[in-house]
This record gives sequence, structure tokens and C-alpha cells, in this order.
Amino acid sequence: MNHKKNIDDLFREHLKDFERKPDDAVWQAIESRLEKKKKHRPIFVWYKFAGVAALLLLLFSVGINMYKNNNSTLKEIVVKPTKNNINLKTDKTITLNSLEKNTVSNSEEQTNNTTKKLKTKSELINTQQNQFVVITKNDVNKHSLNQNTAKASNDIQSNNNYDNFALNNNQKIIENEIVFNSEKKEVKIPKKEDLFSTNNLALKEGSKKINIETLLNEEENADEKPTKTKKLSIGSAFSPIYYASLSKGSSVDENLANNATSNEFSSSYGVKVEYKIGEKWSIQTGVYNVDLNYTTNNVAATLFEPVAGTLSDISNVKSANNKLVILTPSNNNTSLASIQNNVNLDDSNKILTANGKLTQNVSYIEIPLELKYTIIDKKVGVQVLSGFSTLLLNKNEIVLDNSINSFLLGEATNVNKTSFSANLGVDIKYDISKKIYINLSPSFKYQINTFSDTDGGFKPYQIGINTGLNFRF
Amino acid sequence: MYRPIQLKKQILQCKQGNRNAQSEIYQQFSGKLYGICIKYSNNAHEAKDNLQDSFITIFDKINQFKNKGSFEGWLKRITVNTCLQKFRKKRMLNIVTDEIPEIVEVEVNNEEISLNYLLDLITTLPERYRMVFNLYVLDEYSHKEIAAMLNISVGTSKSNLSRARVLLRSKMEYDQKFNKKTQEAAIETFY
Repeated sequence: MNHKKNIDDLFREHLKDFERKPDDAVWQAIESRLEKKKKHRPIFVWYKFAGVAALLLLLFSVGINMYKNNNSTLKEIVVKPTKNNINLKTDKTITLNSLEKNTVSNSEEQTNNTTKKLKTKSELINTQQNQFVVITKNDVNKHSLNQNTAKASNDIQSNNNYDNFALNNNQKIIENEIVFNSEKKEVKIPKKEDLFSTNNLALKEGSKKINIETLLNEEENADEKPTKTKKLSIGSAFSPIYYASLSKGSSVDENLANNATSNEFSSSYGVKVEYKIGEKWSIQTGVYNVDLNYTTNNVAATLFEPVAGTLSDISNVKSANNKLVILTPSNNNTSLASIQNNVNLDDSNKILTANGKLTQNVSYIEIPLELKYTIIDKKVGVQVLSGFSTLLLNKNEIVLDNSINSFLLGEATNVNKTSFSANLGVDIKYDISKKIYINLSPSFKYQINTFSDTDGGFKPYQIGINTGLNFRF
Repeated sequence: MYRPIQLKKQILQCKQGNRNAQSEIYQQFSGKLYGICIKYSNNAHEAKDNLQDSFITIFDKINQFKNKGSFEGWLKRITVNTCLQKFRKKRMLNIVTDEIPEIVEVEVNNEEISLNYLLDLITTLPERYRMVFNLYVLDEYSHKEIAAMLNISVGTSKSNLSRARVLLRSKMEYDQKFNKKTQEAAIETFY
């Protein structure tokens, strides 16, 4: 016999204290997770510390670098000869590979009373006392210079045939090296009579010929000011962008999370500015306009007029006249039917398409702030960069394409007006001239805080290749 | 509150991370908590995942249990919350209609309705209705509490409950007319 029963009671009676034993595999899984937790904790904590330590180390080394650069002396050494006395007083030992006038040396700093090796390609070395030094590659032999240009001295220490040059006790004679003592102003010059004459320092094959007198004369008039490194550069930036999500999901509606998607052409253009803050470090910023486009396929869309004051969160897509667009994957009739069951569809509502494409076009003004570290600094330069961008929403459109025509549906309400991205990249530069260079910079940008809800599971990122023409100042 | 000494001891040992005590607590309560997970999950696989997650959370937070109030109630609350976690982030359809039938009745046979059948009906409800129905009818939370737990309005809770009832009834009536499903579980969702 049938009787009527309250549905709540019916379910409650049967299911309220419903129990069922899970199989043993569940406890085993729990146990192994508990074990893992025990082990992972110390490592996890270590990672945190390592991260903080790495950050501190990075900041510290940047600081040190900057400090070093400010206090460094003689990165670039220029010889300033004195007319009467080429005896040099430094305590640097110098090994030469070749002779090039005025080239920059990779010298290390001298400290008082120690002898440091300078690996230098220069034969002109500046000391703070404006002494003049000539260095050649060859055997370190002495050579007597003309009285005007050298001072002979008698206390030579080595066993080699060094004549007329004095060395102080602290100095060492090393093959192919020249030693100077900052007290004594002496210089050693290779012997080889065939190479040298009293006034010339002719050199071995492969080296350059230098005439001291000429050098002396030239150097006197040389400009003392070291060339200023150009610190600022400004350039154009254009980048095609590949825009996608790290995880499966939809930027528009969680119902579409499993839909197939296709990439549209995304790009950015703008101006970038780079400023050197040390020998190897620089910061980069700029202003770009970024257009990101993304299409979801197989979408069914229904326009829906919400009852006043309600239904604000049925959909993320709002049309121009404040109607909402309900989106579901197409080829799923029950979804459409269930929409019709769940909402009050009347004549003002209509089905826009049963199977169309939905494209989201978003554009931002991007202001990046990136730190760059120089790995190679020659005609072709390579830098790594890392930093953040602030993204300000500029345009937000949803376009529906139902294979007959496409029309602007409205905008997405879940896109945040301000969001950010974490950037990582490499910059390859090619100098066209001292002032102009072009660059190619592939980068990865992971977007943060892009959407006001993360229901759709869409984690957007950009991979772009930035190209530009840049000018140095 | 009277609590068997054994349980008190087990809880204390769990706080210290004693694996045996944890295993004993699991053996004692997993049946009830699995039942809860089944009711709130979409399928068996999800129910097992939710059960695991619940116990991990329980053992994690057991230090916060202050020996006040029912331990079982505390466990159930954690389990329900774990099941609701994923769901809470999704948006709920905020429909409020004017006519909300307060009482929904169905015709039932005198013969026993299979528990599995009722469970199936619950499982096949759309998530948003299932959550509210379970919380209100089976776990007896108030609409206010449900609204807080699910991040929705009280009105939404009420209307979702109403729709759940209506849906359940229409399914049962359909089944009674066309299939003799009330006597057996239509879909063996759980094994």
C-alpha cells in the first residue's frame, strides 16, 4: 500500500547515519602520506631557508658589485708617460700576451706591498702616479735605454742578463714578466738586440712595433679622462606572444574548462628603457601595450535576462545591455536542457548559438621592472633577466562566432583591472655601432591575479620573443 | 563531557603522532566518515580521496581539539568541510523563485526502499543541490550555517534545498512509473 511520506524524512531515516567501511587501501594511502609528511617537513623548511638565503645572497652580491664598481680603480688603464722618466713605480707584475695600445686590461687591484699579477693586453699601464710603462711579450731581458728615458741602476737580482735595471728586493724576475716596484720606478724591458734599439722597442714577430719617443709624445697629450660608459639605452620593443594556460581550464567559465581551445595571435609593442647600475647589472623597464587573445571552441551560448537583483553569479560574461550570457560546452543537450530547467527562460532570453567559438580579447598596459645580469659583454651580448610586470587592463571583449557571423558579445566580469606577471628571460644583443644595437629577447611571463575567481582553473602565461632597435646614451 | 578513557588516551597519543593510536582512531571512525564522504561526493573515487584528505586534516589538526564537546562531532565536521572544499570555490546558481514549496511529499511503497537506491538519487543530484540537501536534511545544519559554509546567501540555500527536493521527487515518480528501480540500486555507484 502506498502512502505519502515527507521526502526529507524518507532520506533522513535511511541515510542520516549511513556508514560504510572503506577498503584497506585507503588506510595504507593515509599512512604513507603521514610518513611523507614527516619526512618532507625538514626539507620543506630547508627550501624556505634556501630561498631566503638565495635572495639575500643575490641582494648582497648586487650590493657588493655596485660598491666595488664605485670604489674600483684602474679597470681601464691608460699610460701617462712622463717625458723624462720612464721608470715606473708600481709593484705590479705584468704578463703580456700581445701589445695593443690603450686596450683595457683585466687587471686586478693592487694592494699595498703585495705583488699581484696583471694579465694585461696592454702595453700602456697607468698608475696613479702617472708613470709610464712599456711592456712587451718577449723574454725579459734588459735593455739599456737612452739616458733620457731610462734610469740605470745596479742592483739587479736575477741571474739573467739584465743590465742597467734595478730591482728591489721584493721583486721577482719572471720570464716574460715585468716587475715594477712602486718605490723605485724601474722598468724592465726585454732585451733582444735585434728587436730593440736604443730608441725603439721593436718587438718580436707578431707583436707591434712601438717607438717610445712617439709614445711619449703622444701620451703627453692624451686625454686623461677615461671614456664614460654609456649607461642608458632606450629602444623599441615588439613581441609576438604565445598565450596559454599552465593548467586545463577556462578563463571565461568553469563549465568550459574541458573544451578545446585554439590560440589566436597575441602580441605586444612598446618602448623599453635599460639603465646600467654596475658592470654586470642593469635594470630594465618600459611601457608596452599587450594584446592577448584566446579562443574556446564548441561553446553553446544563451542570452539571459536576470531577474532584478539576483543571478549575479550565473556567468562571467555580461553583455552591453546587462544581460548575462550563459555558456556551456556544446554537444551536450542535457546542459542546455538543464539551463532551461534551472532558469526562467522567457521570450527575452534566446539561444545565441548551439556550437560556436568564443574569443576573449584582453589588452593591458604593461609596465615591467626587471633586473638583468650580463653574462657576455662583447659585440654580441647575452644577459639573463628576471622581474615583475604590472598589468593594467585596457580592453576586455568577448566575441562570439557562430559560423555565420561574429559579434561582440560583451565583456568578462572576472578579469581584474590590475594584475601582475613574474618574468624570466634571456636577452641577446648585437651591436650595430657603439650607440645602436638590436636585441632579441625570448621570455616567459607567468600571470598572477589575472582573474577575480579561479573557478575556471585557468593559469595564464605568455611566451614571447621581444625584438627591438635600441640606442645608447 | 564523559569520554571513554580509552578514547582520551588514543587522542592524546594521536597528538603525539603515535601511529598505532592513529590507526585505532581510523578503524573506529572510518565507517561513519566514509559514509559522509559518499553522500557528498560525486563517485566512489572522489569519496575515497575525500576520506583520505579528511583523515590527514584530522591528524594534522588534532592538536587543536581541546577535549571539549563531541570528538565524533568534530571529526564529522572536518569531514564535511573537506568534502565541501572543492565545491565552495565554484559559483552557485543564485536563483530565488517566488514559490518555494516547503513540504514535498512522495509516494512510497510499504516495502523497503533500498538504501542504495536513495544513495544513487543523492549522488546523481547536481552538486549544488546535493550539498545543500545533505547539509540540511542529513546533517541537520541550519540555513544560516549552510550559507556560511558554502559562501552563499540564506535565500540561495533555501531555494537550492527546495529544488533538490523537487528534483528528487520527480526522479522517484519517474522511476516508479517506468522502472522498478526502487527495489534495487539503479547504478552501483559504490562498491
